[in-house]
Amino acid sequence: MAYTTKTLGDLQHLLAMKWEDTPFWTPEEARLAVNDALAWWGLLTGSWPQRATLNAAIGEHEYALPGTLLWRTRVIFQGTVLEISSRADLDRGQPTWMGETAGDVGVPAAPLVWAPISLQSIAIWPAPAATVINGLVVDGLGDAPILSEDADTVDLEEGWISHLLGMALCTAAWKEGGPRFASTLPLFQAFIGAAVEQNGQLTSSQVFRSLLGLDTRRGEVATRGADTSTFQQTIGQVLGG
Amino acid sequence: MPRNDQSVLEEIQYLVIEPPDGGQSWPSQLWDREEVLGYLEQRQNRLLKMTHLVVGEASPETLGIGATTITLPQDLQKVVRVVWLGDDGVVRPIERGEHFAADRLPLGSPFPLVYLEGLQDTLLLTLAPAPTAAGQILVQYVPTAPPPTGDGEHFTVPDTLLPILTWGALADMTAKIGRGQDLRRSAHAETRYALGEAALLLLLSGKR
Repeated sequence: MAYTTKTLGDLQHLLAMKWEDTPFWTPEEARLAVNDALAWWGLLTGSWPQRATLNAAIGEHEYALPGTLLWRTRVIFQGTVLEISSRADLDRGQPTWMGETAGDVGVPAAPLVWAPISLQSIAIWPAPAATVINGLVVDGLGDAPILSEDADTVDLEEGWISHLLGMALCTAAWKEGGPRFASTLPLFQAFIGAAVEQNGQLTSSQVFRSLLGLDTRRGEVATRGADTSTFQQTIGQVLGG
Repeated sequence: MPRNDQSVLEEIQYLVIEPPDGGQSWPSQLWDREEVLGYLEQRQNRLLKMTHLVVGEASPETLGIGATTITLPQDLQKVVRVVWLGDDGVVRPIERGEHFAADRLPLGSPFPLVYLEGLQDTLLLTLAPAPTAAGQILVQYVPTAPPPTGDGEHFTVPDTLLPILTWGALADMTAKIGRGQDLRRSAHAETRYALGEAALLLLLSGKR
């Protein structure tokens, strides 16, 4: 996968090239629109991973993640990858899990599983038997880059740039509304389509499927009444003797 | 560059063609500062409630033998999980139930088996059956977020998710009946908000 590095200045210049006439936006509006597109891309595709290190405290099950880690994908305790579980699984499968520490009777000697609690907090089971500095490593999705100065850079794949700029153009045109905004709506659609290509999980959401026109299954299978002709013949035969 | 409620207000000002000044003034008089802050507050609370972005925990409340009611936190939006912490060391999750099932639960359980909402006044939770042992109740819940003030404070949601709130507020602003109404732009803004909420639900679903 090839990556290219673009500056904010590059992206603003490319954005202007997507509009034939004089740009109807200021440089600050372009900057905000580009950052808006990057934020949406990051949320939909998780393109900027990040790693955080935490201290594992003795007897502690729950841990808050740093604010720059949007979502956690993998948790490692002292070099061992923990299996993902859920709070519901733990509640039903190990009801006393909240009171269990590694090494207790009938409890594993080290944390084995982790479960998400909220976007930025997790639980591990069992709790560590001793405090371990930097004992927990969490991989996840990081914040999308925010570009402030013309020379600020962002790593992008070539195939993303056009869609990102299309999304930014749609954002910039929104303020005007009318035909100019309407003309950018296909670019918004294309951006979402590109995000779905990058992250197939989005198609499991009816919201995305509807937007992209993928929700056609129901229309393809026409409903019809049950065939009663055979039944009616049989009844006729019975009644007719 | 950190983002706060002023930067979000200013971004909204750009998008509705108001002079950008951190959200202080809205000379078009189509909207005012408090109104826009209200839209942001509502959208943030809605996002929190729908996605469980943030889950708070109330201090465990003591429940005596035979007691069936506990008081919920004032900032509660939605109950996520209720746990029994028995004085005898038993820790058990309590399932959400309704009164028809609760009426038929066996008596004599040392801890409550279900919790019921809406049977009593606001912010009171009913537990059933009445426990035969003493213990504490731990409630995890989705809190309401502190309302944005426009004074440079941060939102409860992470900065990278602020575009969802921004577009939600824009949807509300352009749906307002009056000179500022533009239903086409409002629908687009609402679509962006819905996509953001759906993406977060996907992130947080399955293994909550």
